[in-house]
Amino acid sequence: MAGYQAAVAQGQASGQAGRVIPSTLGGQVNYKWVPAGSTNQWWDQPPAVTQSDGSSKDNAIFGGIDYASFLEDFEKREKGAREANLARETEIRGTYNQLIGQGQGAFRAAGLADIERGKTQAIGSGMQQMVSSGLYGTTTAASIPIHAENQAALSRLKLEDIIQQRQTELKLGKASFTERIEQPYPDYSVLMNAMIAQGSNPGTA
Amino acid sequence: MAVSIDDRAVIKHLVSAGNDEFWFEDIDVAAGTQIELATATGDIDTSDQLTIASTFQKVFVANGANLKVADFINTRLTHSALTTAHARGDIVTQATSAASMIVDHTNTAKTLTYGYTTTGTWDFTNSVTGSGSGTAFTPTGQAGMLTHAALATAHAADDVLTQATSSATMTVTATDATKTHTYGTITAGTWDTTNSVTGSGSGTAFTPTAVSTRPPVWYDWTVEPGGASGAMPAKAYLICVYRGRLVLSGNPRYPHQWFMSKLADPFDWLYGADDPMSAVAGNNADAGQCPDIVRSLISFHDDYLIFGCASTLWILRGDPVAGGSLDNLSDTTGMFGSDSWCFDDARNLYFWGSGGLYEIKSDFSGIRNLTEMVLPDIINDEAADPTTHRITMGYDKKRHGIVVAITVLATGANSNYFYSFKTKGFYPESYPNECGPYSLFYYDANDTTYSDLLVGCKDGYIRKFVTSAKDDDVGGSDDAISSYVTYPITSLSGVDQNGKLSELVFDLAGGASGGDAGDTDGVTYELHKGNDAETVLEAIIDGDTAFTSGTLSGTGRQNKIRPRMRGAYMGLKLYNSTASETWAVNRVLYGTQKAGKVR
Repeated sequence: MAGYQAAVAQGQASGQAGRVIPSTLGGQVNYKWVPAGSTNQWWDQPPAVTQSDGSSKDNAIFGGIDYASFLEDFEKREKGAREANLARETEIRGTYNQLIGQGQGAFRAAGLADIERGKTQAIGSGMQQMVSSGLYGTTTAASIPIHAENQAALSRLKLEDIIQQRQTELKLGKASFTERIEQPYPDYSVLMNAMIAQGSNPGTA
Repeated sequence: MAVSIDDRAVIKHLVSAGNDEFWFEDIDVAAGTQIELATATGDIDTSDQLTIASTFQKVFVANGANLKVADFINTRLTHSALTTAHARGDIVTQATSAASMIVDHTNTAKTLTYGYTTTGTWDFTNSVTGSGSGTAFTPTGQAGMLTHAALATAHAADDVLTQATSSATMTVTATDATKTHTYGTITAGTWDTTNSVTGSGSGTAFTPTAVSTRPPVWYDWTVEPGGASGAMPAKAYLICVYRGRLVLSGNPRYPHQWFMSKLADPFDWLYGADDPMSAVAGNNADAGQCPDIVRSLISFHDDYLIFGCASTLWILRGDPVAGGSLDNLSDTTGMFGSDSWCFDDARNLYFWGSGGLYEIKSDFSGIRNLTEMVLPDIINDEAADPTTHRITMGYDKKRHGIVVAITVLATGANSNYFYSFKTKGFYPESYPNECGPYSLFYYDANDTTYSDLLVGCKDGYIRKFVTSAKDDDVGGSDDAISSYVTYPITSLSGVDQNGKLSELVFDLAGGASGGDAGDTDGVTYELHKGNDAETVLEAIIDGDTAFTSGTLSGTGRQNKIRPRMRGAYMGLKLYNSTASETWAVNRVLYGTQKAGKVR
């Protein structure tokens, strides 16, 4: 496993994008830095293996394992998982955006309508109270709409506060969601374990 | 532990208005003596209706367009016009002198600041700054009053007085009628009572006997400057104080309307603000109905306010901006005028209304007409007209009754009643025209010597009833008191029978001559007879010649009289119209004999 750090160091030194690729030969794992875009690499065309009698043989199916297919499958699954994650992230972001974008319009409209109803009720009951108390012909009665409007203005402020609070909560939720998103590197330990397991059980040549 | 209690009694000043002048009792000088607030002279029109109310240690005057304040608590500082007036309640303090006042009011031009000086002596060199946003200023003057011996020639307005040695100066505003008080604006120095004062005009030099830097100040009653205090009614003839609000009414353009200042702020008339203390205006009517004309404002402490209208009565309980209620008291009885009411000491209200004299019990259990049985036609008899008459009423707690005075404004001719709580009876009386009551007010003076029911009279004098006086004072001379009693018309025998009045005995008051009890003067009696009671009464009223008459003198039991008067009914009238005489009788005894059928 010590070769892994060396391969990573090699990759960093190259300054290029690429990846560290493991391989097993006779149960031993080696690592190699492979720049991105390299073609005809050994895992695409495995090197010939020198046998004990000095002859060589094609190692495309090394030790009975089809690494190319294995890697392809691995990458395919990884890609699929990533795409699924992206899709889910997109969907959640979309939901958040939709909620935030709504601007609590319906809630606001309903709230404002309710406030207006309350204002009308307050004016009406205030006027009724003025008539009952005999003070209908005073500026106290005239000030009831002012008082009601002041109360309504206060309610509107509270409504806006609630809406802003909800918006803030949504934005905080979205931010928190975004913060939780991880872009995991390929889990090579899984791949390694699979390869090691295969390497300990060589196939027939 | 020693406890030192310094009594601080409430100090009352009697104020009065007459002859376009405003007077006040300066008890620092002499209780019971009124001096003229000369700065007010000519600012009011006492030939027009004038009502006043006192609160916040000020007197507020409602005299049509003359809405004025006589301020007995504040210092007045003069200065150049401020950009921003100091708000009510701000504390202004002067540098160096450390004089300080709580601002109460600023005039419209923002050149006069009124406030209660809490400490220090103001000078005219150091800057004054406020605790609020008001503009700093340096006073150019302070209201002052110099008391002195009567001047031969008063100093004219705008003359500058200068005192020797102290170099104090004052610009004269006015001098009172007795020329003993000079009001003005102190502009420099500190006045003393030792050095002579000379004026820039022809006024007589004097040495002050007293110097006041806080005399009563007189000013226009206006809203606070700045545009945030609304507007007062242009005219008002009715005023009272209710729940810390000044209440105005009687605006000729809106006679049904009443106006109330902001609570505890007579200079804020911004109606309809969303504030439980807001100024308020209104009228008295059910919703959608035409309101009645307000003729009087009757507040009882902070409990209720009665609006006496032309043909209805309304009562406001509580505060109109904070849960109060306005209710109708009567749909059929109105009130005569602004002063035609009074309370007794049991909180019962009496007023002259559409049908005579009424009583409203303190529990508002009903309105009772006190005259409808005994004086059923009193309204027509008196024929009082609000445009020509004034009816003023006062509770005389010394004599346990009510005086109802009906006076012709132009002449002072008057027709009055004393309603006795002891006898529940009405005693008609009239006073000399000079004494025609324009106002009645029971004054609980600081000096109880002066506590009494005071009568503001047509001739400008304030009088009171003096039990021991035997004449009416008419100023330069006295008038004899003319008085009479008519005993109830009495049957001399049985049904439709004549009788003969055989003997008559009078017990006059005073016991033995001299002694402890006051002695009566003489009294004249008249005996009338007739076949029916009304004829006898009519003969007395008409002044017909009596069957017999005589004058009694001396005290106690008089000699028996044998009239030998034959008739069905007899009438007895006792009277005295002699100068310097009063009289009283304890009882009258008589004996009769049957004298046949009435023919």
